[in-house]
Amino acid sequence: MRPGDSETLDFVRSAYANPVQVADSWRTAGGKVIGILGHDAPRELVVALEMLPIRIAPLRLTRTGEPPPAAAPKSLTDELSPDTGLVLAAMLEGRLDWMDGLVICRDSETHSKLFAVLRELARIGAMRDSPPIVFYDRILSESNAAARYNRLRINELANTLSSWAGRELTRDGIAEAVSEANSTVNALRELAAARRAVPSLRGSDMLSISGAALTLPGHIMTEVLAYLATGYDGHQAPSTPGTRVFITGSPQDDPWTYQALESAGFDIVGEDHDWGEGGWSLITETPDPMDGILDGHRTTQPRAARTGVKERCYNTARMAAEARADLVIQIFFYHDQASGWEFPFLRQLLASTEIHLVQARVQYGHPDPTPLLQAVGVISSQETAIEGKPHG
Amino acid sequence: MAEATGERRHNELACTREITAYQRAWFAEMSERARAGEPFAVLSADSPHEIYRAMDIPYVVVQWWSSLIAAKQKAPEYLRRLAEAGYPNDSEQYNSLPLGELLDNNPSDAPWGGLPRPTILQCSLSTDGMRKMFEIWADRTGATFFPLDRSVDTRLDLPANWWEELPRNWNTFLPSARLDLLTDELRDLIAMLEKTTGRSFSEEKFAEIMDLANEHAEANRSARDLIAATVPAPTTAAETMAATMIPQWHRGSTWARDAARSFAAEIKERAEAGISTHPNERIRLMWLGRGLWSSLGFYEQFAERGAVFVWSMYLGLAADGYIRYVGDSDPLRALAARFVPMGEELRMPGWSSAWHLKEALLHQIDGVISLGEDDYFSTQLLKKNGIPVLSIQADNVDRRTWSEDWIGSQIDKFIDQQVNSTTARRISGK
Repeated sequence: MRPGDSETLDFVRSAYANPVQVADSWRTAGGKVIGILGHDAPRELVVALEMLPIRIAPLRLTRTGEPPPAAAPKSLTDELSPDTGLVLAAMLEGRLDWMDGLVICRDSETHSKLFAVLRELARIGAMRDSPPIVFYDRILSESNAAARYNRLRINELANTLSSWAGRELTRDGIAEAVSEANSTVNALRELAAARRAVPSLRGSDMLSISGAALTLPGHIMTEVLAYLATGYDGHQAPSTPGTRVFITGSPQDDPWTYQALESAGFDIVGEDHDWGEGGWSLITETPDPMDGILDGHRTTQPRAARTGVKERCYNTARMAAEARADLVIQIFFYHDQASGWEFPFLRQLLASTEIHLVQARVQYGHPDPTPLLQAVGVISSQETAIEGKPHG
Repeated sequence: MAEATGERRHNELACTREITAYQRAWFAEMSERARAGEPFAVLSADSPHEIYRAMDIPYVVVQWWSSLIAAKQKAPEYLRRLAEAGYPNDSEQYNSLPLGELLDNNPSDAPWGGLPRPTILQCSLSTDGMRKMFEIWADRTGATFFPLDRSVDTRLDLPANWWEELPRNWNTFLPSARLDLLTDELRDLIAMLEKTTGRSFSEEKFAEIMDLANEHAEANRSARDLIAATVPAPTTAAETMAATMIPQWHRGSTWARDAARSFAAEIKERAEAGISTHPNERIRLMWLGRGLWSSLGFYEQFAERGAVFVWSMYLGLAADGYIRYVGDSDPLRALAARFVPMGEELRMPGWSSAWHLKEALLHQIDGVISLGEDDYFSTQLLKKNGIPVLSIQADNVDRRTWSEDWIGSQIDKFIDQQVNSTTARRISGK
């Protein structure tokens, strides 16, 4: 890799697309890998224990070339969201053998359900070759009661992770991991700011970079971000600037929605979901690093699931304005029970600005750009109806 | 599915008629108090009603009101209002119908003159969208919104026999961290309610309420046990749904305790006298999931062929899910122990399946019809124990997802193809 070389970007894209390969390399060198479902888990504890945390994307759970996990029993997956259904299927098939433990976070109640299902399957002996699991329950309220509860839960998680690592957590180790995580977040923020000034870096690439930061070992990511910051030449940048788009809605753990919009000439300049900018929170470096970690996760951007309408929409409107967006697109999955409640209030908030708002509902794991392109007016519903008409 | 008018049924038990008459009178009086400016709360079923009772703050339970909306055939219209305002109407229907009613803004056309505007809204944050939906509702009514957090049982190995352990051993059976969290939140709630309403919380009254709620649940347990043991059943699930749930929403009052006792006494009289709603009962069915409140008469249509619904979760949970003997403990912590596992008893993998099997065996069930439930583990366990299950994907209050004909034909087929043989085995004792 050389500074600014597109090779750097290819490396990032590859890490994002093939997390299992990253895990395999790490484990070949004798390390342990911890899969994390969700954004809530304090990755820094995993790093402090010298293990590699990889945030799992249900669409990228297998090695390159392997087929995706087949569906688990339909009557069971019907009870889960499509993304957690894929995790379940991979667990039942023994396909998560590339990790040494799985942390399930309470980003969404679909994760709580998955945990309960996996626990029961394990109890009745239906799991094979599956990694051990732990559920990290974090309450979102800011009450003292919630703070006490969260502290207890993070300590429990730390104990479980320690047992998986076979070593003790140390304050110095956590502090070092926190410092590294903050460096990554600062570098990501700087890159995002540069992208906004001149959108030479595609939104889908920025999503890959952000996802790679949740996949690659910290020291490699630091190096990658330094290379990218020193002058990615933007050879794939659009020749003419398009409409500046900000993405809200469900967390986008796959770039297809971004790529579909970019193909239609839109520039994605930001997002509030936690696979992208919404997940970049700094952790205060406190005497007891656990305090800073808990506070840091408290200050993460509010996501759609489990949060309030105002808390979420004010934040979305602020971030969209800072990104100088022309258009906000709320992309949400059919199984997302939270995002849909935000739309009227967000519309009200943006009505007094120059920023437009549209909504597109899509199916998780089915990259059909039609609803997106309809929402942004690239194709009309009439065209879709004609296109969708059966032959003959 | 086409909109339909539902199949009505007339209450058979004297106590049910008294209970429903009481509810109408209570609602009229309560509405008057609310409209006169008294604090008025709308609470989710898994909110701590007992605290509101102890503070004399009148309340209505969202799910009861939604079931009334469904029974009065207003659900399709209110769901349309939600969509017109840009809100989802294909999830959370059991909770969102009253918001649809508010958006409809036509009290004279609403059930029982409409739900008065709440001054307090409370829900337990049990789904991803719940906080948002209640927040919107609060904004549109000017009500104060009090959300309660829900914790998750993170244990990897947890015993399933909650119905045996929770009444007396709740303090050790449930993780202390979860009890601590909710007990603290309940203390905060009391403080906020005192500040908001100017009413005070009486610990003495609250302790009495906890005792009354336990006595109420004991009466429900007696009724449940009698129905389970008596063949043919002295009454049907459709009758027990109303007879159980109206008093449940008055839990902690003397009236509710006495209504539950009257219900149990009438069941006992009928059992002793050999009186049954359907003396030709041959097949005993279990209705797993939320009730078809807009069509309670539907449950009776299979009686002609001797198939009778004898179980629903409403009496089952009323019997097993609420008792928390306080003993020397803090009554507030005992209340927290009632609500920490609420919902898990009915739907958490492992817990729900074990309970469904226990109840099916107790009630001598020949077949189970499950509507709109996450029932994979229950289905597996029931089938393993020789009890066939029919799973139907539909939402009980959303008639776009079902019709009587559609469900009825599936049940008929299910009885013909799977249940008859189970019944034959039960009757022959093999």
